[in-house]
Amino acid sequence: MAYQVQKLKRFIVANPALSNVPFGIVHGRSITPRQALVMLQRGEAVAEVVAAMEAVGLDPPQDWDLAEDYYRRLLQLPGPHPKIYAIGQEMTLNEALMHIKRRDVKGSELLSSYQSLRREMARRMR
Amino acid sequence: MPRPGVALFLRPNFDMATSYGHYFMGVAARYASARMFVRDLGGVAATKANFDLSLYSDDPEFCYLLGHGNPDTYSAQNQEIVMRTCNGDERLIGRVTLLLSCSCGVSLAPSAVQKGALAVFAWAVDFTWVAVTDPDVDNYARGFFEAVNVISNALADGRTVGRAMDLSMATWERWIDFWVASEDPYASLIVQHMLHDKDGQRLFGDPSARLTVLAAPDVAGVPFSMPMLTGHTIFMLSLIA
Repeated sequence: MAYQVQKLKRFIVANPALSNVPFGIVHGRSITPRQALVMLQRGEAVAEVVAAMEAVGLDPPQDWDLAEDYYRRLLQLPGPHPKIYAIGQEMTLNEALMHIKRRDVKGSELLSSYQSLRREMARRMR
Repeated sequence: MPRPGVALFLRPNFDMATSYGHYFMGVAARYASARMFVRDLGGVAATKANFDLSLYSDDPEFCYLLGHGNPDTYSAQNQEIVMRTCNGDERLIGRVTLLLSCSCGVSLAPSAVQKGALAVFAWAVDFTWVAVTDPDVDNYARGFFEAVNVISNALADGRTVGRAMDLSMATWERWIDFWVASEDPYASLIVQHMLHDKDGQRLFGDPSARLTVLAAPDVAGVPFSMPMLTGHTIFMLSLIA
């Protein structure tokens, strides 16, 4: 476990922007690298947290829930909230969350983009 | 044969989203104008009629085109359709084109190259970015457009199409590394969309192609600098001031 704690500490220091992005689900709740570190340090759900770390980017069925939680967390950050743009289109974070919840075409595009972020997290966690 | 040393910039401006592309393409147009003749069609001038007229009268060897798109369609001001996969993309024959338009890398760009376009840069996904304020002061949006403008700047510097693509990828990487290391609360969202655009960026055609420019650059790389402050930080400071 000390190995995983060190790994998470290094990851958080090197990648602060990614340390609050949910990457796995433990006991029905999404966890971020920061939360995973606290849980490991407390000895809480150690096996599950370690398994979630190992499974980063490898468990697509959970990704919709994780993407939904990610946008919820972004909405809880202090404003003004940035918008997401494509040429000829703009989307608020709230609208992004709605698309993810509806699992529609735009939601699928956002999911795919969130999955790219998780792959990058997995790459940087190695 | 397209005319050497001539570039066409078509940059519509009719909503918030196009206002960002319009602003940042203006920066690239100024850069290119040091080494090429630049026909800059912005805002209400970015119409199909003016595009056609410029192709006929200026016959540019480089086109940098902004606008709403889909896999088969590119459109300009107010979403006026300029070309489709089946009709109009033959006008890119012999030219190098940077097509900053959603998803045109799926069908339109490869079709244009198949018909004889020298090279086309395009995206196989929707080109997305994150912004919180006006384009000229928005540090969230800046990196997205810098990574694209590097292509235009490198071509204007006389570099090959393949080298321009490499420099663009390197710029994406530098910006991703910058934001990954940032404490800005929205940094992960920026990283997410930069990864999306970088992974969706495509180059079709001859990587050894290059434009005819007035003078070769005397520097090894393309100028690049990171923002001193992030958009969120600037906003918070403005509240204190």
